[in-house]
Amino acid sequence: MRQAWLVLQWLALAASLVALVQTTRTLLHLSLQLRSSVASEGIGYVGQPLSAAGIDIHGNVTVPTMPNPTDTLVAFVLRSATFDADLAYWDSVWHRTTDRRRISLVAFCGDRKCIRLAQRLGEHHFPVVGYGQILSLERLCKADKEGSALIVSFNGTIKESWSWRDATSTVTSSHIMEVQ
Amino acid sequence: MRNQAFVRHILFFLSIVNLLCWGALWFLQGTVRQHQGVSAAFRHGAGVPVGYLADYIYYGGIDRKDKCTVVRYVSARCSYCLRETAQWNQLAARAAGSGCALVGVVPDAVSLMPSAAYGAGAKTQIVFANMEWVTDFPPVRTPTTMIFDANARLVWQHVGQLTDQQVMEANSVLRRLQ
Repeated sequence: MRQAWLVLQWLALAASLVALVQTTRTLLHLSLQLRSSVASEGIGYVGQPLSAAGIDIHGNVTVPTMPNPTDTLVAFVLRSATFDADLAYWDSVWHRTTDRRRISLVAFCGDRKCIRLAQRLGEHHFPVVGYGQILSLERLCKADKEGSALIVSFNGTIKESWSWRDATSTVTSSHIMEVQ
Repeated sequence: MRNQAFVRHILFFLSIVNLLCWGALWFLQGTVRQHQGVSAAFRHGAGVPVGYLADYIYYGGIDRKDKCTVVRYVSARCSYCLRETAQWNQLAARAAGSGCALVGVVPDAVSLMPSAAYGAGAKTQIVFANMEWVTDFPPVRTPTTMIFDANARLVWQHVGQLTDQQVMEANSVLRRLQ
């Protein structure tokens, strides 16, 4: 009986060694997966491309063009839950932005309810995009979760993310105008 | 002698803990893999696919008279998606022959996949998606193939590379829809 117990213990030890090796391998594999995922997603937004091309809420194709090196595009998400407040905020930013030739605002609807709400209101000061390109939508969605808008330079790459939900429309408009 | 027994008991206890940890990790890895593979929206309903194409993509350009719609999404980050061109072309040709619309969801304007990724020889309409696609579909790198019926209801989907087996499955779905 005692010998059987001893054998069992040695067997358990051997199994433990195998398990240790396997655990190390699994952890190594998981860390490699995580590293490759971070590498492909990128930690920040700066330098990544963002296209505002898509279909607006009226079914028209939108292709914003920025021919001059000083042109800037500000892309942000309108949430259906705070649709009226979001729209009023960006309307205010639009009114305060004096250099409208250089600065373009583009809104993206966060869901279908937002598309319906925007359609009901009719015309807007800036294009409201309902459907776009997946990778650009992914970046905007991620930025919006942090309460940010993405400021895009004329060559279509993201210059910076601006935390607009923490700022007043006055601060946001003056920040946008300062961006070169 | 007593010390040796004590050490053995400790080691035995540690080995059990180690085995439990290993099991937990194995389970965790399996769960992660499962969630990476299947979209949240279409997983809902445990085996009964629910989800409507019109909820996710701009449907304006698609001919609704089509018997079904085959949707293909190839991520721009997928480096190996072109390897399954033969299988996809086979499915695309069958779908086009069955009167189905072929739709490619645009990942990125700059790095649009070569036409082979969306089916050579068959007319594929490139469409835009809304932000709910992004929130409901995890950004998988693998290609996603979906079949929607005439009412734009999802009837078949495969996340990952298409094999001959999946092409056969999809073909039988297309036969049912005819």
